[in-house]
This record gives sequence, C-alpha cells and structure tokens, in this order.
Amino acid sequence: MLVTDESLHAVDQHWAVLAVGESNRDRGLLVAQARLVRAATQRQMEWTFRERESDDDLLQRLALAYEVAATEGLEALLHPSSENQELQKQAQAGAWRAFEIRRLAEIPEDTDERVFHVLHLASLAYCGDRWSDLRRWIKENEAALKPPSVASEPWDKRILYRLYACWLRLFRKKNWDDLHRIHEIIAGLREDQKVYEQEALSSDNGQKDRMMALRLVALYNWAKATELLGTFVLQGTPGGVNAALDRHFDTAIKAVPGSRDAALNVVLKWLQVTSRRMVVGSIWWVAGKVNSRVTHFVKSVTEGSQALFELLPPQRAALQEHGLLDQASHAIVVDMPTSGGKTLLAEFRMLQALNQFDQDRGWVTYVAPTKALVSQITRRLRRDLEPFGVVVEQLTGAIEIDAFEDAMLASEDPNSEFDVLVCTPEKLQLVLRNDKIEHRPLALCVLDEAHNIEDEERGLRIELLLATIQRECTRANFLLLMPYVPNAQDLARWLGKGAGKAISIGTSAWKPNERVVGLFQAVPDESVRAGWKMSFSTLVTTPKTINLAGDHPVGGVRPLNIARSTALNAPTSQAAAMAKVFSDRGTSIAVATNTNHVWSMARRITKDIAPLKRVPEDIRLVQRFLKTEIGDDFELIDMLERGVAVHHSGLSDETRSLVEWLAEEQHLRVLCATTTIAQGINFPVSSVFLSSHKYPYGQPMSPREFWNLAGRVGRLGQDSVGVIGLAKGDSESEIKQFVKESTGALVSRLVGLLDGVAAAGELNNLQQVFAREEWRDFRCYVAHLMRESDNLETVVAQADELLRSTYGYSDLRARRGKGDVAKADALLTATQSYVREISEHPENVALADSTGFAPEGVRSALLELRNLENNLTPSDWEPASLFGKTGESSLPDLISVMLHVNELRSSLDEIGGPSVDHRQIANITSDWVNGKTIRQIAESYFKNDKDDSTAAISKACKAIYRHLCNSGPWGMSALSKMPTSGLDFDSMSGDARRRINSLPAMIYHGVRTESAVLLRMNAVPRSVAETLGSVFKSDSGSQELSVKSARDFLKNLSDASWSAAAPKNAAMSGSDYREVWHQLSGEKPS
Amino acid sequence: MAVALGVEVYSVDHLRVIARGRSHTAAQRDAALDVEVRALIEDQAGQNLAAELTASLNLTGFQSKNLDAVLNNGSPPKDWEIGEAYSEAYLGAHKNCHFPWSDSWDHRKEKSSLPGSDLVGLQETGTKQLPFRFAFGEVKTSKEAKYPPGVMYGEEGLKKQIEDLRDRRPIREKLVRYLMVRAIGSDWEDKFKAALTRFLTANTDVAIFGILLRDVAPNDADLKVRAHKTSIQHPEKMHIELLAIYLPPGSIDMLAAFFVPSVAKAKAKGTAIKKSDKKGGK
Repeated sequence: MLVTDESLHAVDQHWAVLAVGESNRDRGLLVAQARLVRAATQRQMEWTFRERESDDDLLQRLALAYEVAATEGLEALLHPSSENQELQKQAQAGAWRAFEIRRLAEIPEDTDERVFHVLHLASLAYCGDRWSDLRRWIKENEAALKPPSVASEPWDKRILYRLYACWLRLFRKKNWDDLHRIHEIIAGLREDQKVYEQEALSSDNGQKDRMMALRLVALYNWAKATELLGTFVLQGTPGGVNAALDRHFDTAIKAVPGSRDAALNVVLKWLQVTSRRMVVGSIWWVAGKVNSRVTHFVKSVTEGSQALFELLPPQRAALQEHGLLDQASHAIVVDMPTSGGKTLLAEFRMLQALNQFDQDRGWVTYVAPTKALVSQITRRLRRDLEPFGVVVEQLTGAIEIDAFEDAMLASEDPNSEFDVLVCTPEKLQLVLRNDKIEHRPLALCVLDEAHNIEDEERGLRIELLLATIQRECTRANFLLLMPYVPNAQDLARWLGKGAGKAISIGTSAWKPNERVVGLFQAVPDESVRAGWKMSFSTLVTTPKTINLAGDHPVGGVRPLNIARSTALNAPTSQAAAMAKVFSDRGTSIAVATNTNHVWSMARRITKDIAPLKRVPEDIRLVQRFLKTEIGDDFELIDMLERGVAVHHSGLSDETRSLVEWLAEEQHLRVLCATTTIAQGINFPVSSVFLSSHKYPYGQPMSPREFWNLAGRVGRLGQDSVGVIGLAKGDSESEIKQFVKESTGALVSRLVGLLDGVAAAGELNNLQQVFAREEWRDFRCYVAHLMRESDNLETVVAQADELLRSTYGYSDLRARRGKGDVAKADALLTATQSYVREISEHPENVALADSTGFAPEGVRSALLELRNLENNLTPSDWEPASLFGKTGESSLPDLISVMLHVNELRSSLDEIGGPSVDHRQIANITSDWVNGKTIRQIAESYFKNDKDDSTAAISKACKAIYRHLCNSGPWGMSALSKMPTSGLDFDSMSGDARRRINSLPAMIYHGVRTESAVLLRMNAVPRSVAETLGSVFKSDSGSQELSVKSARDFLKNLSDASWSAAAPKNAAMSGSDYREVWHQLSGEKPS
Repeated sequence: MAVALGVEVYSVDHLRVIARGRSHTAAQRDAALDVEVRALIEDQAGQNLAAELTASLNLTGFQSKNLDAVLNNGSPPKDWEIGEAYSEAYLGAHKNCHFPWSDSWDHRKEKSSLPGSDLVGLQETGTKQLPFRFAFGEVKTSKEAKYPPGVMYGEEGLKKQIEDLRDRRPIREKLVRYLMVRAIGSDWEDKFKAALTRFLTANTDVAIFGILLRDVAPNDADLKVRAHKTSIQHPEKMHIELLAIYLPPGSIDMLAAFFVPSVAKAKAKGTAIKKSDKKGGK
C-alpha cells in the first residue's frame, strides 16, 4: 500500500510523536523542510528562516519518535495481512517521516557509526516507500558513503564493510554490472574465510571467542541473505526468496545479541524488512504475473542502459494492489502523480494486450496529445519494445492519411505489420472512422494525458474518439493515464460498461521530490547605484508544497544587466533573471507568453550568463544541424554555445525535438519557452519560472495543467527540491487563489458546452447553436453515426443509445438532476433534428468521415470547387504541375477554396496575416515543397523593415510548421476527395493514385518526391531528403517503396552515403546526419 | 534470598552524582552467586542455540568447522561475566532496575543480551506519571590493589564508558533502539513506553550506573575523583550513580571456579562454600 496524506496525519498523532509535543512536532517538520530547501538551493537563495539552538536536539527526538511508530509495525510489514493493515500503514508513515528528518543529519565520521547510520537510514527509506529519495541522497553523498577499506581490518570488520558495499549497490541499483558484483563479493568472502577466520577465533579468551563466533554466524547469514537478494534483483530468482531471506535474517538476529553489538542487532531487523520491500517492489514481480513477452521485456530493461530494477511506489501500487493487469477490466483509468512512471505501466499493459490478441493479430494504439509527444513516445517504445520484435509505428502527418501511411495501416503482411501505432487523437479518429485497419482488432487504446478530455479546443474530439472506439471496436480495452483527477471512477464506469476499474493513486504522498511554489518579484537594492535584485516568497498550495514564510532574496544584486526600471516592471525579465540564477542547479525554464518575449529573454540571458566550461558534443551537433538547415547566423546557435535554448512554435519540429533532446541529456542551463510548453514537456528540469500563468491569448492555465507542469519540476533521482515560481506582477491575490484551487472533477467538454448554452438561455435553441465552431466535432460525430447506420429513422430512433456512448451524455443521464435532464433532453432533440437536416445531403455526410470535415465544411468545399473559373483536371493535380511554375499551377485556386472552408480558414489566415492572399500562400507552399530553406522563405515572405532575421525565421517557422503543415495537407487531401475535384480515383492507375495521395505528405514534409516523403517520415533532415530519396529509389529498384523499406534503407546507410547527400558547404558531416536521424527517429543503425 | 544490599563503607557523592562504596560478606556473596547470579549465568538454552546456529551455516556456503568448535566447547564463564551478572542482580534488587531479556523469539534466556553498554534496561522511578526510565550500566571487575584500579582508565575503561553514556546522545539512542526492536509485544512494553516517553521529552532523562566489583579493602579513592569529574557537564535530568561493591579478598579469583560443574556439584553438598570461605578469608 502507498503512504497517504491520511496515514502521515495519523502517525503525526502517534503517542511517541505526541510525547515530543505537538508544537515541537510542527516545528521539527518545518525545520526539516527548511534545511532540505536550504541545502538544495543555498547557492541561489538566501532563506530567511531562523533556526534555534535547540533545533538539532528536537530533530533527533522527533525522528526517534517516528521511528518508534515504524518499529511497532515492522512485524506487520514482514507478515502483512488484512488484519494488520493499520500497523503496516503506521510503519510506512513512521519510516517516511523518520527518513525525512534523519536524511538531513550529518553522516558520522567514525567508520562503524557511518556504516550503521547509512544502512539504518536506507532501511527507513525502503520501509517508508522512499527509495527514489534514498537513491538521490546516495548520489549527493557519494564520497562520504564510500565503503571503508578492509586492509588490515579484523575478519568481522572485513565482512561488515564488504556487506555494506553490497548493500550500497543494492540501494543505488546503478546498473546490471554494479549489482552483479555482489555475487563476486560474497564469493570472495567465502574464500577469505579460509584465511582470516581462525585468527579471529583465537583470542585465548573463551568467552570473547564465543562472542566473535556468534557475530560471525550473524554475519555469514546476513551475507547469504545479501547474495540471495542481489540475485533476485538481477534475475527474479530464486522463487520463494522471501522464505529464504527470512530464514537467514532470523538466524542472524538470533545470533547477534551474543556478540554484544546493539547497532548490528537493530540494523539486521530493519534490513530484513527492507529486503522484503525490495523483493515486493522488484520489476520481476510483473514478469512472474504476465507472460513471456513481459519476461523478455523485464530482462531487457534490467540489462539495458535503463538499469530499471525497481518499480516506483505508484507503479507498484497500480500493478500489485489495484490490478492494472487484471484482464477482466476492459477499461482502466489511472489517476497517477506526474512523473510517477506511467509509460512503463502502459508498456506492461500493451505487452499483455498484444499477447492476449496474438492469434487475431490485434494492435495497440498509444494516443498522445501533441506531435512532439508522439515522436518522444515512439522513440521510447521503439527503444524498449523493438528489441524483442514489437513493431512500433507512428503517424506523423496532419489530419489526413497519406498514401504511405495508408499502405502501412492496410498491410496484411505479417512481416511488415505494426503492433503499436502511436498518434494524436485526430489521426486516430481518421483511421478509425475510415476503417483503415478493419482487418485486425484493436486490442488496446492507451490514452496519455487523458485529462485533455476537458480541454476547450480538443476535449470534445477526444471524448468522441473514445465513444467511437467503444461503439465500433467492441473488443478494445482502454487504458487512460492522467494526473490529478479525483473522479477517475466516473470515466472507468463509462468506458468499461461494468468492467471498468479506476486506479486512483494521485493522492498518495509519494512524489519524485519536494517542491516549492512561490511568487517572485524584482525589488530595489540600494547597495549599488540603481541596484535591484530578485525576491521569492513561498505560497500555500493545495498539494502542500513547502511553505517557508518571509521574503527570500535570490541571487546577487542585478542578476541580469538591465536597468532597474525595466527589471521592476517586466515580469518577463524577472522570469529570465530567476531562471539564470537557478540554472546552476540544472535546466531551468523561463516561460513567457509569446515568441518575441521568449527570444528576448534568451538573448538577455545569453549575454549575461558565463560561458560553458566545455560545450558538450551534443550541443555542437545541434549547432551544426541549425547551421545547415537554417543558416550560420541563426541566433539559437550562439545561445546554445552558452547552454541557453528556446522552445516555441517559431521553430521547426526537428529543432524543437533536438532542443528537447538536449534538455533530456541535461546539456541546457536555461530553456526559454512559451506557456504551451506545459503540454509538451516530458523531460527533467529543476526549476520553472513563469512570467504569467496565462496562455498567449490571456486565458489562464487550469489548475490541473499548472500542477501537471509543476509535477515535472525536479528531476527524479537528482533534485531534492524543485522550484516553481510565478511572477508576482500585479496579480498577487489572483495567483494566491489560483494555487489554492483544487484540481476538481474532470468534466466532459460536452457537458461544459451544454452548461454554457444553458447559462446563456439557449438550450431551446440548441440546434442553431450547433452551427458554431466549438460544436464542429460533435457535428462530425453525428455525421459519422449517420454514415455508419445509413438509415435516418434508425439513427433517430437510436439517438439516445448512440449518445449514451459519450461520457458527457451518459453522465448527464446518470446524474438525473433537473438541469441535467433538461440538458440531456435538449441534446437528444437537437441531435435528432440535426440528423434529419444532414440526411438531406447524404453525399456530404459520406465525405465528412473521409475528409475530417463536418458536413457543412464538405458543402463549402464542394461549392467552391464548383465555382472555380476553370474546372480542375487530373493533370492539375500532378505534383509537377501543382508545385510547378506560378501562373500554370492550380495551387492558388485550391488554396482559395480552402480559405472558404471553416475547418481550414483560420489556420491558413495565420500564415501571413490579413495582407497575405491565397496566391502568396500558394507561393510559400511551392517554395517549401521545392526545397527552399526556411531562411530563404523567411527572407522572401516574412522579412520587413521592423523585423530582424530571427523574427522573420520565427514567423516563417510558425507559418509553415504550425499552420501550413497542418491545414495544407488536410485541405489538399480533403479537396482531392471531392466529386468536384476533377479526379476519379476509381479509374486511375495505382501509380497515379499514389502520386495524388502523396501530395499532402509533400506539403507536410516540404519535399517534392515520394521517396523523399518516405525518408522524411523516418525523420531524415530536409536538407538531404531529396538527394537521399533518389538513392533510396534507385537502390530499391522495382521493389515497392514503403515506410518500412525506407527505414531499412536508412539503418544500413553508411556515413559516406549520408555525407554524399549533404548539400555543398554543409556544416554537418555524414556521421552528424546519421546521429541526428538516430535521435529524431529513435532508430539505431544496423 | 535477594542479593544483599551490603554495608555502606563510604559516600563520596559530589553534587548530583551519587558515589558509594558497599561491602559484602562472604556469606552474602555466596548467597548471591548461588541464586541470582547462577540464574543469569547458567545457560543450557544458550548451548542448544549454539548448536542450532552452527547448523544454519550449512545453507550459507560458509564453513562451520571453526565456529562449531568455539560455540560448543562449554568453556566456563569468566570473572568479568560473573561480575556483570552480580551487578545486574544488585541493581535489580536495590535500584529497582529491570534488564529484560530478548523474549521475542522463543522466551529462552539469552545471557548475552547486553550490547554496547554492559547492562541495558529500565529503572522504576517511583513517580506517578511515567514511572520508568532507561537504565544503562557499565561494570568492571578488578582485584588490583590500586585505587582506583586500572580498569577505570583507557579506551575501554569505566571512566570513558560513563562519559560516553553521559555525553553522547547517539550511544544512548543506539541502546534505546536495541530495546525498541525487542519491546514491541513483550510483557515489559508498557514500562518501555513510559521510559521512551521520558526519553523523547529529554534524551538525558536516563539512569547511568558505573559499578566496580572489587575484592580489596574498601577505599573511597576508587570513586572520589570520578564522582567529582563526572559531575562536570552533568546533564539535566540524568541520574548518575557510581558504586563500588567490595567482596571479601580473593573472591574474584574464585568466581569462575564457583560455576565449574565439579565445584558446583561439591558446593551443592555443602563443602565448597566453606572451602571458599577459608580460601577467601576476611
């Protein structure tokens, strides 16, 4: 079971703790927090917390009191049963608190005292479920914990010190080899026994010898238990390890009193319990429960670079206590703290599902909210699962399925079939609504960051996607992963239809590290002329982050070289100053509300931050990539020289991915980003400073989003304290309220929309309200239901049942309040009317699914295509014509049609603002497809007198990657499917069909040939895609090109071939290209 | 009959440190040895345990031959061991002390259950609230005709041991932890809780006993300086008591012999006491 806030509260009332005194207890816990924070941030912040002379003594007494509570429950932890659960909880909570305090104590200098201190502290950590904190503590104190030398030590000490060395290995679990040494150390002791034991037992004093003999009996049994445990951690054997461990520890504990060593006696008892906790938390536990695929997986993660031996407490609880792998549960909703290790849980469940559906060739989908996360997850899954034959594919493009994706999805060749498909909700929706994988059952849908179901923009889409899966993929299982959702049970009930399970461990006390959340501001400092400095004050928050009253000075005077008046009034500069000061501790993120502010923050920090002592080779590689792909003078290159980077929509997808990689590798000191990073951050950072808690358009983050971001601050295993700051500005009371707000129940966006309609008194007018943009996803869904049924009256009659497959409607019906019934009734009536309305144009309904447009969007597209001056012909759609000479291409016409379609218009408008017309957009598109670099496009279309080249490049990147690459391919694909497109796919040759179907991907990837598209789909940088594409095509001969054949080609490509494809004067070498490809794709060269 | 209180032969208390000398007669000595000390010393259960423990080594991969020889040789107890038992019996009878055995595993006595400090246990304080505190005792047995004897000094001397218990919180905590892992579920758990509650309020609220077992003529020089020095830095609430027990001359040499099986048998017939009386003399 997990330590909870309730069990901590209960142990705070334990008689031993109360013996110390309630006010003393509170004081002690506060001092412990203050010391932790001070130790972690002493170089950045001067905490004004005042200690008292008596605090040391108080902490010792308090720690001992909590240890008493823990000791009372040690037997319960050793022999857990339903009867002694309260004692187990008490033991864990007591150990948790005792560790919290004792880890701050100085490590004794005396060798023996040190050995016992460490073993005892580590045991407290294990019994309190805090091994991740322990591992960090070991890392922080590595030098002081070094095992003592055994040279010239007597035999019993030799054994003790050797065993200490073994347990250090067991605690730190560095890697396979490190653990494997335990076996050798114990074997060495057995050899040493022959040499040293006799002397140890020859003191000429029978009683002393007897004491030594008893001590040796204890030590030998302890050694054997250590060896057993080491073996189990490494390979999950022997079976029945608990009984064997108990046997040896029990014997050791019987023998040791005779040796008159109180410390050894106590520590053996604690280590016995610790060894049991280690066994129960071992990753091998899972292997024993599932199937051979999982066993292979566990073997691979223990032996590989991940060195993963132990489940984090939330993982262990989800698996062992909450039945995450229970096959009877069709829908499992996991509410888990951020950084609790949910991807690993998903991997276990995925392997289980693949195994379960093996005969039917079932597939699994992993749905992530952003393209960046799709890439990250793909890389992770490939790394973890491909070694034993699980094929992971991702869908990269916009809201369309291109020819190659289509082929990959439809493949029935067991040799090239994928097992896991990673994609965004939008892509999966298209796949499912168009029955792209009809021939194989969907075994499992994993939905990551599933709280997005309440997102204003995409929530409804996600909810309806789940409804579609639930209705149409009848055998599919669900795994929803989300943080801070108190009503996970509601979702489980909806999706599971009676076989749902909610695993709520979001409220456990476990966290990857402690956190401080506070306000920062710049204040005048008169110690120098016009001086200023930063100040930080902590906030009282709902998740009980550390709160130390007072204003705490940060850094020195004038941490950035800017005028006082600017510093005092500009939250962006203040966030930059905070991030710069805290960058000493590891990557620090400074968040601004728009791209321009992000660039200016990064510029300022770059100017004022000291150069890196040594620029890591990974940074050098990214610099060469930027020089080649963008240009020598791109500002980010110089910023990286000092460990500073930016992350926003004004960068290419590849650049963002590489910046994330540098952050993952911990090469970045400061990362300046826009608020949207909250959605995509999946790498370790030690602090985050927000100039505002609002998104660029003034909308505040939801508390759930904020805590999800805050939850990632502080690197597991590295930072004991993560620091999150918000600029005080003029919104102090608003922010104070914001961090106190609870995350609240997850509400369906459908219900949210209906609430809005009801509040506006428009419930009786709902069908008209449907026309609004925010209802588009709902209209698409209804159209889909209509198409599936193909019979108006059936749909009308079954509307209630069909709507019940949505979370919102079923929730409203379940609630049965007066207002709820009214909303549900209104929705039902309006839906029925809408069904009748769209049934008048069945062709629009049919096209809605294949295009992803709502029926109204289909109608606009059809009409506008018909209204074109010149009717389109198949030759107009040929890539050479479409992206060919201006004046002869029909691309401007197509863009003008797109601008009339609601689904596309706003995004296309963003490409150049109101002054850019459809011709300009067509020109940009052609240049992009024809290989013009971002810099060239920026110079041609986005440079003006006001902007420098960085601003122009940012605008160009935003226009292309954010808007053109989404709306362009989507529009192109949708228009090509219209009956008025001039195309007749049925009469086309296979080649021609594929060429037309490749058009969207060409726009998406910015290349003009099919072979280059395939390479870009496999993460090949754009600057070499066309040249390598030609090689790929010629190498392939008559063989059909596919995503997989492109990947195989790339895996076998030599440095020389990469090099030969590089453009003239490229800063990147062949091996650079290969490395970048490796990082972006997650693929390893053969 | 309980071990005798004996006659107080001097009192050199200094400030709050109590320092007394008491002498025991041969009869008193023998009575104590025969009852309380014998109960503490003779240990058939310990012998059985030894056999069980050496057998356990077969499963560890370590050799058991040498250990077997040591653990099962039945060597007689040493004088210092008997000295500790004597002191333990004395503190139990006259200072309201209770030194619990490990009874967590099979209720058998483990005579060597006294780690770190020679004696670790509880003392009844007579107060209404929290009537127990922790009691730690250090014992030295010496026949040296020197005042104070050599055992008072050095790394393992009584002086250092008492000072460590007085000054070093980690040592006291270690001993408390040792009791803690045994107290849970024992019949002395309530006493332990009372003592611990005191300790958690002030970790100096303990009783410390330093005992010299001597067979020389009583002399207050054994304790006088020590009482004085120990009173410097005497922590609040800590009870410190130094005690010298003077047995008849020659007693220490015969302590071990008292428990040699043949001697014990003879003693049972009523001969050994007289013998030792004669040998020890007055």
